[in-house]
Amino acid sequence: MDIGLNALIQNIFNSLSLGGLYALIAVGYTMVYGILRLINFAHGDIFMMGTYFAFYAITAFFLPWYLGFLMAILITGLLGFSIEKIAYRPLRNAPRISSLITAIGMSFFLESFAVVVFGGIPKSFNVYPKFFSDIILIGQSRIPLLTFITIGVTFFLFLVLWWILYKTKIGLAMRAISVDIPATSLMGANVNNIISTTFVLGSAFAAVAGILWAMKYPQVQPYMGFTPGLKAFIAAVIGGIGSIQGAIVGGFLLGFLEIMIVGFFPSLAGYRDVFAYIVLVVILMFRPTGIFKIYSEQKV
Amino acid sequence: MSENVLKIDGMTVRFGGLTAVDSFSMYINKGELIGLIGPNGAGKTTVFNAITGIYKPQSGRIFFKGIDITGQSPQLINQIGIARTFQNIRLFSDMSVIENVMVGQHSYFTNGKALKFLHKHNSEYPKPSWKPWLVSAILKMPSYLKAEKAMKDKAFELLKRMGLQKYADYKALSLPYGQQRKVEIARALATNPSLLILDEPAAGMNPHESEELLETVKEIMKEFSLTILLIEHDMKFVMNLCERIYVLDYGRLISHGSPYEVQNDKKVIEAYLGDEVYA
Repeated sequence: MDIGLNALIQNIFNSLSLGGLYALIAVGYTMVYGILRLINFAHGDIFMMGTYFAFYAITAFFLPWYLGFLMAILITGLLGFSIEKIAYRPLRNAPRISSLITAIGMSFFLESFAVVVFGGIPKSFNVYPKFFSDIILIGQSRIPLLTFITIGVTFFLFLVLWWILYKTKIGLAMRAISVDIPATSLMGANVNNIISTTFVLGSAFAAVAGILWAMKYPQVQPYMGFTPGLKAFIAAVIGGIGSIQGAIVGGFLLGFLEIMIVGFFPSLAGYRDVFAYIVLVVILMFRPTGIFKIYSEQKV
Repeated sequence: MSENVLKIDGMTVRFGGLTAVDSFSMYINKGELIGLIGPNGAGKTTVFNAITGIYKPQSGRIFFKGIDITGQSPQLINQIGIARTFQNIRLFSDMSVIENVMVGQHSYFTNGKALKFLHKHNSEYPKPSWKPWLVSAILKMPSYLKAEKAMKDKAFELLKRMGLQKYADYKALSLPYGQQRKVEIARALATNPSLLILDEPAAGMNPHESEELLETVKEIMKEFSLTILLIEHDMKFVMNLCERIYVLDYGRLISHGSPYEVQNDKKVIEAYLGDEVYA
């Protein structure tokens, strides 16, 4: 009897941490989509770059882990800023398909860049302090400290995001341009700065998710962003792309389904990646705009 | 020269083969209230979009207080003092009324750029202090955190001025149409304009509402020492309010003068009613 309960507790914590990571990445997709109506396919690779930055900040520049992580988050934010400025901004008024193709190209570029510069061989991500792997007992469930850290950081960042969006000037402007870019610029707000801020924020979140991910599955490699990126994208679509609550709910929903199905039907473990797509298809059949419906505004 | 708040010189706007506005010229003096009228599709809103930087005219120049603003970005044009409302209301739908007005006060990051632009074209404007943006951003950090509260207070004042204070926390789209138009005016005022451009402010209002709006427009004009340019189809509104009127038809200026002169201009009557009236 206790074995069942322990397994459940274990699975709940695993779901919260995996779902939180999906949600952190999904928020980046959804913020960019909400403002530019662009699927930033390079987002998963920004996540990957974040982990490499952390890895090299610590192994090559000998920074203490906390400084290394902080630097990696800042540099990833800068990377997001540059990608927007170099690749997407020149195409802001081009047909949407052009920026979509550019996003796919940017994704290939970042992956190939990582292969050439960092090397294609996976590297062990052993740069975090050992106490992160300490086991904490809840009842009889053995849960690593890292899981608690992941859940805590995730929730903290969602609070920060909420604060930025609803309590600061830049957040107000971000919400305004997601409704109507020309009208916002006619009110004197600098649209380019606001869009840059959105990319910096989304990329920094992806870097945090990347670092937490790399500690959970302790290795880094150039294609590590593909699967989490795709799943987070699905999470954002399930939740209703463009909606931040949607991305968070979608991320956790996906995390729970994946862990719970594998946890209670171990024979299906080999199919775990399939569930995300099944959920996507089922939800889109009944709610084509996702769980949190976004009304499309008529643009003049 | 520079007592003209706005001066347009031979402006032409084309969309592909269609000439929406054809060598149009006008001027507005400080403190004037000018009407721009014309039948549907005459190019009135196109003129507004060109002034505010949404469209770039193919030829001709636009001067604001003597400074050439042709082809500048909408945000720069707004920051140096031109604000507008829209023909089809464009409020930020899922935000509250007060938040909508607060967006109007967002020119925080870029004031430096607008000041630099003004100084470059007219040395009477003060030279912006030179500081790397990062330094000035850090120096402004404490005031930035306080800015939210100040913005909210100012927005509330403006809502009160427009008689909308009780709707402050309502969703913008839940308000009646006439009130939404007033929110748009409050939002435009929040950007501290010296020239206010109103695109059909009385559209969709009943006679009582438009009368009320007429009074409000007159009052805010004095209170904020504004110069106003407006498009309106409600002739009573225009004739009562405007000092001078420009009439557009098929993108060309066909008449210009006092309300009385314009009303009795044969070309204007033809444009509105067709020339068979005279047949």
